[in-house]
Amino acid sequence: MSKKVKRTYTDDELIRRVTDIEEIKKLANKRVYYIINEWREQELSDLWVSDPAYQATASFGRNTGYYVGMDAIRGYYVTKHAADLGDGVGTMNVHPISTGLVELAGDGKTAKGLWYSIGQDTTPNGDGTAKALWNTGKVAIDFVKEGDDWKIWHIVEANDCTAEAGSEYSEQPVYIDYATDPVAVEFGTPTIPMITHDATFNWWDNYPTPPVPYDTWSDEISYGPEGYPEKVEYHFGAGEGGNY
Amino acid sequence: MSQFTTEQLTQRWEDQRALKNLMGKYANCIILNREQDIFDLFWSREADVTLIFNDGAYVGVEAVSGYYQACYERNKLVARLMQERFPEELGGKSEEEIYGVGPFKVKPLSSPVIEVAADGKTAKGLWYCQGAYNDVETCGPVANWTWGYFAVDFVRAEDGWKIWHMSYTNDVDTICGQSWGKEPKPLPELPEFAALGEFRYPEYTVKQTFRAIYTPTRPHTDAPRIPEPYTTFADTFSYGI
Repeated sequence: MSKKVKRTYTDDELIRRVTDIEEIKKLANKRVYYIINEWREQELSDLWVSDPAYQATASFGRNTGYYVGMDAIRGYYVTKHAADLGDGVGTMNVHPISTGLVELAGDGKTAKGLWYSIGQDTTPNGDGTAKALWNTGKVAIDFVKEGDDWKIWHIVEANDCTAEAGSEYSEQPVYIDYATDPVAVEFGTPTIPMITHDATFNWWDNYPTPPVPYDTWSDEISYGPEGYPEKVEYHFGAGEGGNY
Repeated sequence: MSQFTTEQLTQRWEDQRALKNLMGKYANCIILNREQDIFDLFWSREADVTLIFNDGAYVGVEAVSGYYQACYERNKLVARLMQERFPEELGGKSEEEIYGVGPFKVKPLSSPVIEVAADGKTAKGLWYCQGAYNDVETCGPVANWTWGYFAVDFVRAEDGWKIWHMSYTNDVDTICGQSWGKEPKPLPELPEFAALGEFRYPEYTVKQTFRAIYTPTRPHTDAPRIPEPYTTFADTFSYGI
């Protein structure tokens, strides 16, 4: 694990670090509007890493695993989604983010951020109505600086709750059926299929973890699969409340 | 970023903070039903100040300030009707004492994208707003989800940043507990609140649909344009008309 190294900064370095953090927040916020606009291809080209080395290890994670590498990410995030989207009539996908927590590496080359999103995904049923789903969860992002610009390197969108608008959340089945869960179905078959975040009972497995101050990048702090924390005992084996 | 000196970067960070605080104060004034204070506190006196909603826009100082004054008048009307409906709780209190009973309009702002012009004279900001409009209508008290966007042009005045053009448009405006993907189920009207049906906001200066509310048959609709870095306002787009 990267150790926090005590650095001292000049005034110039400090304001540039402050500005970097603002630019990182702005990048994450821009993505919100790209999603609304269905600009997924543009998102990958404008906001994500372009260096081939970073592209090879870029990842997009959700509760049921990770797509790794830009080609795999594009296959899911752009190509599959475009096929699901059709002409876009009656579709509205909105994932605003708040409660931002950003840690800029001591060396200023990478950063990590965590946000919460109370979002919704609305898709037409084809009969003049639509299925409107509340989707809430954490959005964790690793950033890397390419030249003067910050770029997205790894993302995890960890869903906590899916509920149809106007329905009783408390009446939902307790256990998630991944074969029918709309978030899992939408995610398809990732490069690395695994349960990264189990939202049963809103059980708290603390993934993705909030970023902590760090000095320089190491894969073990990544929000990509290489940084997934050592598996601990969840579910009933941990006993009631055993995750705390 | 590299084009700016340390001092300029510091000023630009302070500008961003001031703009976020300005919008935070705006949202808090709405929560507190202080619409009558909003224009004086936060708006520019530029002749083309503009306030856009989904179905129309107010343009000019008189029209924009008139809208907020109308909000204040409606708040007073709501309080009076609530006083009549709940005499045990509110009877005997003055108009001033009961002002604010009823409306609870929450406009939390998230996902800001702010660009301050390189010349520092203007700025642009886009926010997402997952709001709730809890108010009294002809059906009585009712809560609506209101999901939409604040897209704002700011201008620097002698006493700080001011709102120049503001577009507040929603995608979702749906009674809480209902789905925006289904046919809305209006609540039955109540005679004690019928007077609200007579209330009218001022006519828009420009009456047109700036953004259609979501329906299952609405074509895909982009968010308002995302602010882009710019040098001076003439080089970028306007959130006004």
